[in-house]
Amino acid sequence: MKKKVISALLCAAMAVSMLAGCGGSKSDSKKADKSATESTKAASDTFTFAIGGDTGNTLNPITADDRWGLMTCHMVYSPAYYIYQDGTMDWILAESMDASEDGKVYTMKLKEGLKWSDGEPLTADDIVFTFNSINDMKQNLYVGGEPIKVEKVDDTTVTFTLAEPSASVVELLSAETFILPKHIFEGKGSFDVNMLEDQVVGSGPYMLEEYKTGEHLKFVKNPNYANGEANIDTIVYRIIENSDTASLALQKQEVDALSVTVDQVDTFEGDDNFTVSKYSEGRVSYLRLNSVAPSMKDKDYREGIFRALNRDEIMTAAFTSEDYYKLGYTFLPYSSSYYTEDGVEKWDQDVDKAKKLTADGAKSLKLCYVEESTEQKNEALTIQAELKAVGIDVELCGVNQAAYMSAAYDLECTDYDMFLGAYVMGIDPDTFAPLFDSTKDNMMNFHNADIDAKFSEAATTLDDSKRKELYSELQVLVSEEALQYPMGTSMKTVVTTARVGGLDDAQFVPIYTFGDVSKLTLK
Amino acid sequence: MKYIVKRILQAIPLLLIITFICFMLINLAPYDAIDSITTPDMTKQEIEAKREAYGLNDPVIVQYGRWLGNICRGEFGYSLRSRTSISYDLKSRIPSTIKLVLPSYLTAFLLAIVLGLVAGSHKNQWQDKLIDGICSIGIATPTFWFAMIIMFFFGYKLELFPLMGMHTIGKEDSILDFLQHFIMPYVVLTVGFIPDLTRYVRGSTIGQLKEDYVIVQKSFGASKAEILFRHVSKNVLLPLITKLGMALPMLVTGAVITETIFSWPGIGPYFVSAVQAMDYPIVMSILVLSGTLVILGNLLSDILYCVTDPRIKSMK
Repeated sequence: MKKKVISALLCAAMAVSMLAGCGGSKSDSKKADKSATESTKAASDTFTFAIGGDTGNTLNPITADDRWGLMTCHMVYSPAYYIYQDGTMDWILAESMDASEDGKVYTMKLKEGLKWSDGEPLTADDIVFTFNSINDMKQNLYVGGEPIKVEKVDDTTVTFTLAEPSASVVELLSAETFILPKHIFEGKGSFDVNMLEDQVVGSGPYMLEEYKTGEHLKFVKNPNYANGEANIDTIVYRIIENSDTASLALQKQEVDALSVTVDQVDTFEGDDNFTVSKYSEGRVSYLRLNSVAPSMKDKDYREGIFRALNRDEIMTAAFTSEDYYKLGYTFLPYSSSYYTEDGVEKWDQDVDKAKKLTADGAKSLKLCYVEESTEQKNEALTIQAELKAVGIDVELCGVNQAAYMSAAYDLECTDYDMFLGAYVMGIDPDTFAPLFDSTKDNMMNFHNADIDAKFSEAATTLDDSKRKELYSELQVLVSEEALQYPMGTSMKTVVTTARVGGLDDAQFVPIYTFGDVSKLTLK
Repeated sequence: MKYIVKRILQAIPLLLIITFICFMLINLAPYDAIDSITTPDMTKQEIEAKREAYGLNDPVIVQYGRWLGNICRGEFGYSLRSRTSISYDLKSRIPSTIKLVLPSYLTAFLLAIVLGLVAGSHKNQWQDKLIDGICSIGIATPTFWFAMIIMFFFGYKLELFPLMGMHTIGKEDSILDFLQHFIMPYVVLTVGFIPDLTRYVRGSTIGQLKEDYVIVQKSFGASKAEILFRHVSKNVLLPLITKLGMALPMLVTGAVITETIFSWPGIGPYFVSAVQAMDYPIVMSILVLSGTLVILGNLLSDILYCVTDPRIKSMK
């Protein structure tokens, strides 16, 4: 008997603490101003940014493709120029990039008096060295199957010669291409930089001062940065893998900035101690019907599936409110200047029609999505309910990221009938060609010669109004296939502490979060 | 001495089998490390080139052979995801984990002996019920939840300790600063270790108290405390040596969840993210380390047995 009483008491105590724990997390963070923990708070001249994983000790500016590695490269190296989502150019090392009449030769002019962080001059030699090294290692910068020829004219002029004209080459030459110091890497045989031992020489806004495995990366400002010395002296990337811990650390202001998920943002909304910023990465969420699955061979049936769905409902389930998404009806993100709904088949919801169209087709379907993604899980549940209403059972198959990628990009995979997904491509619409062009990677598994032809025509067309026309036709053609159901563009949310300023000047960008870190300020 | 050498030699095929099975299991998955770093804007060519470069297209047995060759030369290799040197990462992460796990385990061990003896000797009395009840709850409480509760109250609400990490940046040499960061994960981990050990000691104590020598001591008029701490405790401690030996691999993988939650720069978060991404060189390296420690731990406890208990020595 006694034992029972004691256990009951202990259980009660536990339940109380559990409730307190759950309820408490929503309370505001007034206490954060307390002076008692001043020591644990970020130092006044240091901007601390929480990142969700470790970079590891080696940095390779040419092969880096993980988010944290790229974020580090973005701090210590610079591209020649950067193109923002709205198409505006941020000239960093270069001051101009001009095309010849026939669109085959581009001339890049560098700014005068550029220097590496170690004081050595940065010249056309470094540009040529970087692009040749990339061409030696991978084929990213190939146009028409040939590497772009890069030649030095004088110390500040470089020409890029293409095998055939390409409308997207200006973007191709900037995306994730960091200019590397020839005097450091030449003869080294590898582009691996050991962050624990090597001194990292770059031309970015900051220089790496210290890397501590699993803890942080510390950067100090680069006095030789091409766009002028940064406002903040020190920037720290703090590694916090657990997202709840990261959120709590921001509430306590131990960190200054964090990318948050939709369900975390509530805590910070309306609190004067924090600034909540939303921005579009041009990330398009979609449902794809698997064109090789036996169930999806009939176009009427596919249309029936789309007619059963309600975009708004699905997106609200995933992103909670319209503040965090914009509905979209084509494969391009809403923010693209080529986006148009003219003539595009929107597949508006019509349950009766859906029932009729799917009457003779499969009655049970498998939907594949990424299990770790809360938004995709919610999308999947909504789609399941909506298809249930027209008499189709959906089996939800949540798999991990790697398994998803392996199934979704296997064009012969018939294990699943539908895939949920999202992509961030480039700014130029030609970067979307690999999704639908069956002569390329064709990740959406399309087979339409008309679409292929239009994409390759648009890629080599230099006249902008002609291109707009072509991409407008493409958006119609792609929608009419009834294979991809674009749902819209979602927003990303970053929360910063109130003392962080200059957010508008720095701009938010995909992957790196902050475009020009040197423009950030601290109050 | 011959015995020890024999045992170590026996361990080698065992390690080979462990690593082989793990390697095969990793390869059974229908996807690999390259899939985990693929993004929609990467071309098929690029992805295939990576797979080729990392040798993932070779037959499994060739991959295993290559990996084994490297390990024998003492090379842990490079992460498939970030191409960073694994030995560098391990070199700085293992000491961090040991700094956290060792004190926690020793504290839990000592507390468990005391609590277990008290509970066992007061079987079915209130002391026993209290200790056993708390242990039941302790076993049933998930570590991540307890860690978040501790962090929320002591780190966030009361602001007694920094929320996470091992040091404040720039104060890496300050012991006081380290201790401030250390306390919360240390408490969580200690609490996590105690229940299981306590129950073990309690069970063993109850068993020993039934032995004849206890009755003999009683009849000689020895006090209860004297019996418990001078005679019973010695016999209870003997099986605990096995526990201690088995705890050796914990120095590497003993705090995976706690470390992840408190952003402690140890092996835990590193291992978890590697498993998720099928980054097999990292997973295999950690496995070899902990596998070796399991075998060494067993060996160590066998040797300690011989040293502490003359009866076992004479049995051979």
